[in-house]
Amino acid sequence: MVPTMSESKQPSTHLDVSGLSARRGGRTIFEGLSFSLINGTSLMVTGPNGSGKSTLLRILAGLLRSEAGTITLTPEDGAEICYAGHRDGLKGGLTVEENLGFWAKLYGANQEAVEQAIDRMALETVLDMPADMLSAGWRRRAGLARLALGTAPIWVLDEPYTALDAENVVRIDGVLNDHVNAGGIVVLATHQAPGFTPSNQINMANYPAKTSEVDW
Amino acid sequence: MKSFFILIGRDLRLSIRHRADTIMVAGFFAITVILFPFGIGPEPGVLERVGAGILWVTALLASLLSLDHLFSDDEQDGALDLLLTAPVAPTTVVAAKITAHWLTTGLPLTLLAPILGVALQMPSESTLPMITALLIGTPTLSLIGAVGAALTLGARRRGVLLPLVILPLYIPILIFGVGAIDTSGMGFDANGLFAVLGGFLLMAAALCPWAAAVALRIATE
Repeated sequence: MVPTMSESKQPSTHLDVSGLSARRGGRTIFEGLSFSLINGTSLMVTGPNGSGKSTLLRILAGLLRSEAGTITLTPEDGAEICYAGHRDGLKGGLTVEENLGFWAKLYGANQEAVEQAIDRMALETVLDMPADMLSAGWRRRAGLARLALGTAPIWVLDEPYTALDAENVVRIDGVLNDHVNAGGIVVLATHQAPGFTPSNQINMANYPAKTSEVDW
Repeated sequence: MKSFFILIGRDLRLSIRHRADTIMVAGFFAITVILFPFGIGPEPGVLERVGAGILWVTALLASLLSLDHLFSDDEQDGALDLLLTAPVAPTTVVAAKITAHWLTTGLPLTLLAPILGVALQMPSESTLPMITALLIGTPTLSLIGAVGAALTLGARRRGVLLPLVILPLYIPILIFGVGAIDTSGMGFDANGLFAVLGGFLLMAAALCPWAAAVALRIATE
């Protein structure tokens, strides 16, 4: 009998991290970090300043190399990561619409997805404003609207709530919650408790460097 | 390949928004070349002899002006991180940025050169070779320059470091570029020199985007 693929079954996405440690500027920041996420779960990374939240997220996004440990993405070719860091990556000279239009084209998203993202972040009023002219909160929203354009199942967000007012924190919460419920994975580093309950939580303070060379 | 053109489109749109940058590079090229007739004097023969060299050296310096922010603008506003994590090969990102750089720097310089050649009293026979040599040579400048721009990204005093890294690598293009224009201007066959310039271009096109992408990875760490 010829084995057939079951078409209805969605490929499950896994993000497995084991024994991860990172070194920046000659100093070990964290050591022995392990966690495992499957689709439909989220991870909140907390910890004091300098405990390596951003470093961990940049390693997950593939922007930094880890010192030791492994990161396994399953399926290997389908599990893309969409990263949003402290800086939004908006081009000041382009309007909000042009900025989003560029990412939409690069991610292969259609016009409908762009309109949905605009609607979701309530960006209609600033669409034709150059990104330069936006306030910090608007910039953040315009930057995060990019997430909704891609098809990456794993979102890695560094302090997504910065500069947002209460109303927009709720807005972002809704977007993140929807992504998790739709079978995505969200990893976020934040000081501010999100409005939804993350299924996993990591405090970076629990993974200090074992070798005591704390001072710079 | 589609994302390659999307990325070029973005950079071109940005350079239209910040068109002063492009105009400044072309303006620098034009003014610097025009200074030479004043400095050297109008004796016939002298300018004609050094004209091709002046054009090339000035073109090298002008293309350096805009290399400085080839990657640094995107690095500063965080777009570089997002481009490197996007579902696009870093080599494609780099190749697109190099192409856009050439379209906004090398191409305008190539088009300006024949007009400036008149100010340098260059013979009309060398106009076509001049355009051809610049057309083949200036993309190589952008390609090699991108490696330097990526290597010096995030370095202090980048503005000074970049020319120190890049200019020595421009010497072969300068030699063959000037040689091609001069030889053709004297009525000799310069196909061999053009072929060498073409060879440089192909070699740079094969190696530089890859090398610059590796350098970018290191720079963003």
